[in-house]
Amino acid sequence: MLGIQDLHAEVAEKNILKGITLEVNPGEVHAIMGPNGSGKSTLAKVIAGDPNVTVSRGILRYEGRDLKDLDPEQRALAGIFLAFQYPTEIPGVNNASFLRMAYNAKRKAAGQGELDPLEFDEVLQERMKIVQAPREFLDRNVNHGFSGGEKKRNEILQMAVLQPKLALLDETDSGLDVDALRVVADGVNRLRSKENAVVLVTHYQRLLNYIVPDRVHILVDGRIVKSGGKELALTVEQKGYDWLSVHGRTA
Amino acid sequence: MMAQNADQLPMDYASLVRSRKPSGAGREFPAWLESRRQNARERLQTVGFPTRADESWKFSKVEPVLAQLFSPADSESMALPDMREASLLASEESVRGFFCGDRFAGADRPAAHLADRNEIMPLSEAILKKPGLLEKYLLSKAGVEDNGLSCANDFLFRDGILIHVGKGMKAALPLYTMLAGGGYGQERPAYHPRVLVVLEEGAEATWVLDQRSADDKAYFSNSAVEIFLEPSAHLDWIQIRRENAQAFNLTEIRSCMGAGSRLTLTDYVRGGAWSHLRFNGVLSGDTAACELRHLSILDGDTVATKYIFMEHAASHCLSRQLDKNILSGRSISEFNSIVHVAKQTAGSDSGQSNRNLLLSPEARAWSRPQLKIEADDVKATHGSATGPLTDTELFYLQSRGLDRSVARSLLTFGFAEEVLEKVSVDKIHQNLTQDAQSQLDKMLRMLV
Repeated sequence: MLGIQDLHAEVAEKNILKGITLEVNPGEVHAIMGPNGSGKSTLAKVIAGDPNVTVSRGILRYEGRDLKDLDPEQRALAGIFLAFQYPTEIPGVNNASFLRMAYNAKRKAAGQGELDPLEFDEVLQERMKIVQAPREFLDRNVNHGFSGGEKKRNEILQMAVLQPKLALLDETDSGLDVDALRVVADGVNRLRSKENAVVLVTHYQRLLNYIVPDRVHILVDGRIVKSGGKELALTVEQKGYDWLSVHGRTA
Repeated sequence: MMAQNADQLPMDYASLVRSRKPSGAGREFPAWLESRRQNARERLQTVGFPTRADESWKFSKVEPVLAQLFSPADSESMALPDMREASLLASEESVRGFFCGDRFAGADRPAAHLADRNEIMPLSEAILKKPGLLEKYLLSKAGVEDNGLSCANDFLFRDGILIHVGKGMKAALPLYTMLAGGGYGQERPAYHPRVLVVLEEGAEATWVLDQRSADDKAYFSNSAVEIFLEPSAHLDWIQIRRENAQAFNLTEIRSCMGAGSRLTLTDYVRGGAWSHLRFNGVLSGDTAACELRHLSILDGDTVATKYIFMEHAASHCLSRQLDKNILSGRSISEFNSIVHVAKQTAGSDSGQSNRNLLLSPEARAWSRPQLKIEADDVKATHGSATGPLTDTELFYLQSRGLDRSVARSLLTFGFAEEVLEKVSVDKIHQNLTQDAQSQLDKMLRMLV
């Protein structure tokens, strides 16, 4: 599904990703862990098409297409979804209307008819149950005045509505208390299937207690220095990241 | 056109106003009013006309307005069009009053409406019917934050409109006032319409002031609005200023808010050549509250500036200001706002927020939220942000499958909607939403 080879990328002319190689297949959950500043979020952003991140070298393919040729919206319509670490507040744009616009954009791209507000409300009710989103979310403007935890839940609501093939969750656990974390993780687990994949970017292991990854990758200074099974996350929890820098690069 | 005599020689507005006798001279004004008008004229000689050397007029580009060769209008000879068809609210859903220039052009109210303590009438009629009320309020705050143009209205106004809601009464329908400026067959006329709003104790009303152009000719509307909210009164005021590209508009507001009263003003500006709003509000009774919301949508060379002076003169008062401007072309906006918290007040709470969205590199937004605090127990916040849409905002929407032009349109309209959604009258909200959408679409198309 997602094929990355020797990917180098820059933000504000500074090299952040320095040769990432990663393969994600349908049905898999990958966790990207690493210390602050290691490039985890940049990796998520470059896949989603953030214009602030420039690919300088390497291969970035999704379902056989070169992502570098696609605008962010084309990537989204192809099934890529980024749950932002810091979701943007959009005053004046109603959350329910926004969800419908995004949902209809996807339907339109798939050659399906758009849903009117009443039809969409049925879809929305069902998806809201999956992530236990409060009804009042719909009456508010997109992320405007939301607490940090509410913003993260709203991201997962968007994910539930758009049902992406490849979900990139950028530090979705930060800012969540234990109860909210469990709700968000349950929602993500319920959205998992054999056809879709999830890439979790996280600083801590705790999210992985709830969303169990198939593969864990440790990113240090723009490179994946170690990959392994879910037990790697537990090792990191016990030993931190310092020992990995010494071990050097491992595929 | 050749000048026929000295009286018709082109003169600038300032010198013409200085030399002119009070409008309506010869009519039977009561002595108290005549005295206040003459007093205004004397004050004008003292304070003079504003210049950009005055901090509160710094970015308003007022000198060209004063040199625009406007002449105080000859309202008596104007042919008045019927503006009822253009009204934003129908006769059965509002109590309406119409002004063309500064001449009263009729009022109507639904037949079923009880009008005895909920009045909308011309000042010329109110002088006869409600002399006590007018003597108490009309021009009673004149001299507060004086300037030559407010003095000019004080002594040149020939008529105006009274909105009066009696003690404990709630106006069941919105009150609607149209001020329609225009050339009306005259060369660059200047008008001095005046509005007096009095809500007695515990009264409640929603009032829509619709300032617009009746034609596409140049004119100057120098209007004055006096608002008196007695204790626990509540006024929800929606002001719309949509004028032609040659229109000059000064709206000077003086508002006095008694204990427990509440004033909300939602102000919408689109178009015009030059507009300047001056708001002087005094929270004079404990727990009084005032909320100002403003949205300008500007293009071309339009100038839309505001000067706000909010006085917290009593304890536990609250004021909120949300000022938003969307600018393209070479347009200019200014938010110049001072919140003054007086000594010996307690528990004041104020907030000033100014946001400017620049759609063009040549557009300019000046932002000056200021605080003058003389008391100890105060909560005050202020903030300002100016700039174009950011890649981060656009990327967020694009990452949800919306293309860049849709994302830009949604963000721009969302920026406006934060103010528009506060408009409490559904039909007005719909009208302004469509108006803003259409104007913003036009502005965004030009950028592509």
